[in-house]
Amino acid sequence: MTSVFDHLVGQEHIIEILEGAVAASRTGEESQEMTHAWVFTGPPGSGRSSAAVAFAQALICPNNGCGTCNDCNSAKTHGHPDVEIIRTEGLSIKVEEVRELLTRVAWAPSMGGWRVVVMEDADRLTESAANALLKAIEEPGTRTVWLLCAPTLHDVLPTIRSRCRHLQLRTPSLEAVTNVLINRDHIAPGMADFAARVSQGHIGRAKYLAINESVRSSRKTIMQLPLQLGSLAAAFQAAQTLVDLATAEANAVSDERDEKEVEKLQEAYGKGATGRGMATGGAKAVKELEKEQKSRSTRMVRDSIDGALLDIATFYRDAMMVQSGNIDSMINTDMREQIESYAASSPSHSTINKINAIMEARENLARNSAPLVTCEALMCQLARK
Amino acid sequence: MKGVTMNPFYLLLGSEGALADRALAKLQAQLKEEKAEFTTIDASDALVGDIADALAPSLFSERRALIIKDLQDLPEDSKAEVTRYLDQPDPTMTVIFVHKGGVKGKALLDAIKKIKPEIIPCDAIKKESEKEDFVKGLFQDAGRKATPGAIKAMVGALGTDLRELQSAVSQIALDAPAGAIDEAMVDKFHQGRIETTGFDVADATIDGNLPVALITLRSALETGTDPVMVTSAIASSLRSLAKVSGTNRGTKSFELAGQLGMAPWQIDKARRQLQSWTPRGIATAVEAIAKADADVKGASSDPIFALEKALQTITAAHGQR
Repeated sequence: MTSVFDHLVGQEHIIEILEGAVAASRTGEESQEMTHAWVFTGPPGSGRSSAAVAFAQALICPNNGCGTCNDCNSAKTHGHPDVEIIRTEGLSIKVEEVRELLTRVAWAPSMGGWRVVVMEDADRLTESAANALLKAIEEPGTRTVWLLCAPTLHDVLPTIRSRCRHLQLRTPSLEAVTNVLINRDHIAPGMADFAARVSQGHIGRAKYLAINESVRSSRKTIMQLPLQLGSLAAAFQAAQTLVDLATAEANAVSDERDEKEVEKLQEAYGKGATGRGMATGGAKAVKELEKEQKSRSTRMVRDSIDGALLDIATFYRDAMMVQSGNIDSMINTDMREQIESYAASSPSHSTINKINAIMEARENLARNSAPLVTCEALMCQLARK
Repeated sequence: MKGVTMNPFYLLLGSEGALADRALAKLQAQLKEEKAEFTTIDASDALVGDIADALAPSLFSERRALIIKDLQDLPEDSKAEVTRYLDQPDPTMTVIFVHKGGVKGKALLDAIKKIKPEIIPCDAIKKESEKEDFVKGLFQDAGRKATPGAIKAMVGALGTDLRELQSAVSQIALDAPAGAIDEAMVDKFHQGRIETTGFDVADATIDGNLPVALITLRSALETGTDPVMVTSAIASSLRSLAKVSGTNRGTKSFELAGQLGMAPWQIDKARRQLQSWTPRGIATAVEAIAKADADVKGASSDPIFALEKALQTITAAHGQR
């Protein structure tokens, strides 16, 4: 029989616990295995939210999470009355949203089993929002279960995490990710191996890389940048290339989506229908949507630059591996010769400084500093011997 | 009628509020001399009947005046009250319309123009020479004489905002000791303040002149330049230096312009500046300005201090071997 837990890659230790909890929840008796609040942590791409959603499906499904029945499908697509999936594209989850949520979660489940709340970005709760949650998590309704997701335990307030059972997801192994790409997404083994390696356990990123030729080629260009820092003008050129490529990648995704959203909204206001065009307020609503899209695309560009910087960091990480005599776990095997010759020409302490400089630049970008200047300064630091 | 020397209608037309204020003040002074009693109505909050009331014939036929400000905002319902009066004006009355221009309330404006009022143009002043004329006029109104240098200095210091310029002139005219007002007097009042932008700060910084850079930074911030504009101006100057540093010295600047995406004069300027910069110095400078940018965006509690520190690092990197 299929199970919703089949999709979790390399998380056998967690699946065992979750299946035990589901079995215990069926008996109707109080037990140690099932509890009312869980927090899922793990590195980006390890599948925290997939694990939480799978658990939610298993709890409400009559077959312990078959993944095929009506309940399972509707839970996954926000359609189930007893499963609430909180997801944000903005920067934070505000206290008003949480208060509004609390009035709903106190109800008994409408279809019998459990009422499940999945909060995908518990790390984005503002402090007051987290505090508003406290009471509900401490003493939930008898049939309510909270599932929080966050990158690490430290991203959740101590008062909240002390009330939850903690499940730590692992970064899936190279083989596990490769196998998923081959078996689930039907990607050629060679490509699957490459994508799994360079995306370091991030399954979504690996798949995206494997199926997009343009993404692969821009990654290739970016990985060459550390080798092209021969002069000051070249360093500035490298920064420009990085920002341009990352922006183009982000825009390729967002432009199409933005356009569709605007069209849909205009249609909702009656554009294209017979009569006098859009209803009153239409233009204003479109303008607001465009403003929202602009802030979202700013975030996407920033995320994309961040990804490019992480890629560059793997170059120096590999160089450091070579410098310390460990060549087995190299990420960028396609650049082995170039990395080895770089490693031989540069002292290892400067490699560490460069990795630190990359991490610092990422932090500054997260603080909204100007992308181009930040990258230029970074490239100047990387250009040092 | 005895004592009436003024037109029955005036129209102050244009978007420059400072000019309209000045013209209005002059007219009001004249009206006062004729012992007129005046009423001022802001068109935007005029209620139905307000204007008709003010325009109704007076029982004792004394001299009266009505000022309607922001005529373009007059509500639709009140417009008829104005047009009705235009057909049958009262000889003891002077009406002053103040209109910002533009298309708003155009029909009413055209109706007013038809009765041939005295139109006083109050269009926005853009040219330096017009601003200087404006300042000269202000000094004359105040009964003071000012040297051309002083007038130039005033416009240079406060030229972007005519109202501010107006109040500065009136202050200096009242406070300065007797005699002609000269440049030194203006300097004393405004302490050498000139309008500066991020680019002025960038130029001084790239030239390695710390004292001038710090002073320009302060005056740029005082005149409302955002710290972010300063960091981006310096960053873009450094970017020009870096780009040009990679080119062959012998190539003509206009040949490089397309390739570098810069104007020829920018390339020449960067070449001149490059003479006292080494690649290492520029690298240090870029790192400093990137840090300052992060600081200005909130990484540091005092953005101004962060900027000043960056200027110091950059000017020190200038001329470094």
